[in-house]
Amino acid sequence: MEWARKHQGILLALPAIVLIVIFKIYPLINGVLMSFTSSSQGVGTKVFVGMNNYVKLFSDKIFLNSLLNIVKAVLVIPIFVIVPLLVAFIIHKRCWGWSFFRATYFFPYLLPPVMVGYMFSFVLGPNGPVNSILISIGLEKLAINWFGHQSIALFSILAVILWSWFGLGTITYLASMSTIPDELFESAILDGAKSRQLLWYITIPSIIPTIGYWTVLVTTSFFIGLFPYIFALTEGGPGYATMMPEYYVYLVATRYLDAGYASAIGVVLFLFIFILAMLQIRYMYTGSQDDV
Amino acid sequence: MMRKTMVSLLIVLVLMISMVSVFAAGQVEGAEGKTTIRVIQYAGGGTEFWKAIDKSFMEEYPNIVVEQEIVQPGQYHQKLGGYVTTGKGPDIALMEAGTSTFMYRNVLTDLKGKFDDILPNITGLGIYYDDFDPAKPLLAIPTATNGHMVYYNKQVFKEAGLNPEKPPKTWAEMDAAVKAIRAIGKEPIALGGREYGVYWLVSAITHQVMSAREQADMFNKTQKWTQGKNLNVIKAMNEIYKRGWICDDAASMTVTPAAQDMFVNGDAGFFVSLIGDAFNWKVWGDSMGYENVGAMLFPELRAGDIPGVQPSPLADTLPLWGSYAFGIMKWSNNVDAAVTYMKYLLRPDVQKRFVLEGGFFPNNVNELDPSFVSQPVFATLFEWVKDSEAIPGIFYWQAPEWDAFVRNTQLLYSDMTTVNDFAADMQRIREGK
Repeated sequence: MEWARKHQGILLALPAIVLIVIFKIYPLINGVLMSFTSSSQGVGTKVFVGMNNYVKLFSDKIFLNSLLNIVKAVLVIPIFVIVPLLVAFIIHKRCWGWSFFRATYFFPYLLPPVMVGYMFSFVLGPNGPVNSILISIGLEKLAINWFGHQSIALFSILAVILWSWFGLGTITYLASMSTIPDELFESAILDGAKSRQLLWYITIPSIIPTIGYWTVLVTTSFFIGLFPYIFALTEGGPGYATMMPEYYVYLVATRYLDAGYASAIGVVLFLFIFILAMLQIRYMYTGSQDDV
Repeated sequence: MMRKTMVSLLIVLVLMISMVSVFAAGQVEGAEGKTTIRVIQYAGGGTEFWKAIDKSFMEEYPNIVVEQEIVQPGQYHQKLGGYVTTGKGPDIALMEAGTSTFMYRNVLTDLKGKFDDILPNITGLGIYYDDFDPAKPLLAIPTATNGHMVYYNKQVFKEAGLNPEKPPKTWAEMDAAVKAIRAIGKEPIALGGREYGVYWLVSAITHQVMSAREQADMFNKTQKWTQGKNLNVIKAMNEIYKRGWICDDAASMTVTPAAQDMFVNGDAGFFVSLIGDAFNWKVWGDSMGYENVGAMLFPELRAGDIPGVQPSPLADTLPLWGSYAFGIMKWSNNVDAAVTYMKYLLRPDVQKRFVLEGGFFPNNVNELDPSFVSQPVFATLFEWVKDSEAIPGIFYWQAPEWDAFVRNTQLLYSDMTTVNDFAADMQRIREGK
């Protein structure tokens, strides 16, 4: 009994530790080990292939193309950071139109991503309402197949995702803005500061860590959070125009039935996100320390 | 303090027991004195259909209990693959046709000799012999039939001034029908080009340009995509697009709801799909009225229709295969009961229920009279099945080639690739690059 009393803490934590080992640690290790095998010769028959899957990755045109698509997506991250920031500022400072945004901004984020995807496949479809409106106002040339053209499809998906995610960004920024002392704004207004200056000189410097946090969240989500939208909107097409690494993992695992190769892609994806997130977090931390 | 420790230990114990109970769930033994066979499948025809079939079976064979494990199609192979890895699991597993079945060859029982009494009546068995070779093990037994053909909307035909009782039979006649349908502002073939709609189309197309032997060569990989008959498949895909047979925006269109709605609502004249399973005669008949549904074989390619492409001897036949097949796993200790169950599924009276309750097309056509279904479209399909024994070449393809073909078709049907680039990409995928 004395032993049990001494180790009471460990015993109480044991169920949680067991669950984490079974459902987190074991699958992770298993995934890494699986990436050194090939099962394409028959389901369930795993053959050790060493680094072959990793070597194959870097000559796999579909995978390389999916990385290129990530790079294209990363280019629009500033929009994902700025749009919710502006909406949050409008609501926080009760600028013109704030009540409209307050009532609606979080609604898109509450919709399940697959539903958002299917909804926009109709809204932005070739015969959908957006194109109908464009045609009715004489802008036929703009009434294009938004998800059916190689050079546009990826950005159409990103626009849908922006619509879906900006509510979360807005509420994140709003929470941070609520911690800024009102006196700062009041004295700035007394000194004649305009809204633009309040945003640029007071709000943004005060919430830099939150902006950093949101940027990390968006960046990592571009690697591992786009699946439901791609699944519902384009399935990686036309061709490979909207293929992302995570969707490719799904294809290789469930359609090509090569769990080993899919695991290798997953491991590389994990390393990419890990390194990127660490860099961004380190930068954020340094930034906030400087502020202090 | 002691009391606190006791309480803590009790909580830990309860939690551990709960977890063990959760993991132990599902390991329940079947009823005593009875043989329990477990079946894994994705319930084509619906869960209720299989419940009704199993109920009848168990009434007739009271010593056999059937347990179904229904899995979503998208997760089926992971689930079955998990059983294969552990070497134990269900007795019977649904097998998709061709190369998909071969993946499980090491864990499937050779069914040769076990179905000899009914084997002559089974349709479309060829794709279930290992490597498509009847000298090798028979890996699964189909319980339904399927094939790729074209449904047409008779109402659209009437509006376009076409005779709804005389669908186009040749490419020249199809050209004329397409022209008439486009003239009234409607689309010809409603194609879900974003996904599996392409599979059905290319199966019909392959039949137009390749003999059975040539289709087998696709599997054997003796023919490159960049030359010969393989290249002709892509040329034919391109030709029907250039001739205007394919609806606009097919490249980004889903099979359902987009293409399906287009056909059902009378905005398109044709839909290439299946005689059984999903998108079959019954689905169309129920949704748009049987009087409006017509069935036709894919128009027959003739010499000169595509420059430099010779038609196949199969061009006027139905690409046919036995579908919804079941295999018996090697680890099963209940092979006899499993065989009894599978033979039951192929009995003529049960096969009728496959049609009437499950929406399948029957496999056992030699022992059935089509008159049990009153719709003329069913009788038409029935005759085609009786007359055909042609294996569609698509089952020779591996999954990455499938995927690449669909994606390149999207590009082809959006003027974003050429026939030669399409072929080169297919060859690259075939070589695993």
